[in-house]
Amino acid sequence: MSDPKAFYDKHKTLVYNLALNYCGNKEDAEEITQDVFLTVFKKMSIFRHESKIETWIYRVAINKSLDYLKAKKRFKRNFINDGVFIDQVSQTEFSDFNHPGVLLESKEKIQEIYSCINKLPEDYRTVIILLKIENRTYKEVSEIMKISIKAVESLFNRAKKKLDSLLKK
Amino acid sequence: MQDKLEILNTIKKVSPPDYLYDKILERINNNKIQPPLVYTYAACILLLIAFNIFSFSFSVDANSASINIVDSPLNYLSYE
Repeated sequence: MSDPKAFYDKHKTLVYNLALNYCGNKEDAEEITQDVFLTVFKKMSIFRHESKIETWIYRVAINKSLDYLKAKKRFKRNFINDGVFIDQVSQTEFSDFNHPGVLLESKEKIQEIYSCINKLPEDYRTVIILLKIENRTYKEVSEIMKISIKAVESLFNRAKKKLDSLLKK
Repeated sequence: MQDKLEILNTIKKVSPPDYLYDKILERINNNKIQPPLVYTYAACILLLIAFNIFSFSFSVDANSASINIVDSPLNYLSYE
């Protein structure tokens, strides 16, 4: 990589916003962004250019975000006393919602949707974030997730149904 | 359902803070410092093991010497 700063400037908004869409707050998004660029800078020499660089960065950012959230969840479970139920723990996960891109008037509604998105399985969560928040096309999502376009469509339909049932509760 | 998700389109893209790149560089430099530290720790552990082996073998020699004294048939006092 000839100029890491130029590379960072080109992709920083993509990575930071994707991380924000997974974790919902600035502090965690900054940590995830750092992890993503550390990995990208380290592995750039072995990147085989079989896919677009942006697609690869998306994959790294998605994996890092999911790993970060899993680690955070594990830490919280260890920290909270044994007597607390898992449902109670997952309710606390989005208590620190602080997305700087969310307008104040819609914050409450979006926080509710985010809280439900966060309870979905990982692939459901990813497909909703990429299609509805990142506004990627089905083709781009299929390349990022390494599945067919039909599989993306079916995954999105199932994710919507599941999310709808969670929102009705 | 589609309507409920439409609100997600109102989320604006934001730029990360300027200090983030410096933090990344700092972490890259910290990672570079780590290998020599690992070698230092490895050398310390090896030294400890070597010291243990040396002290153990010395104590074995000392013990065998004391056993020799006890087992020795010579008792100078008996000739007095």
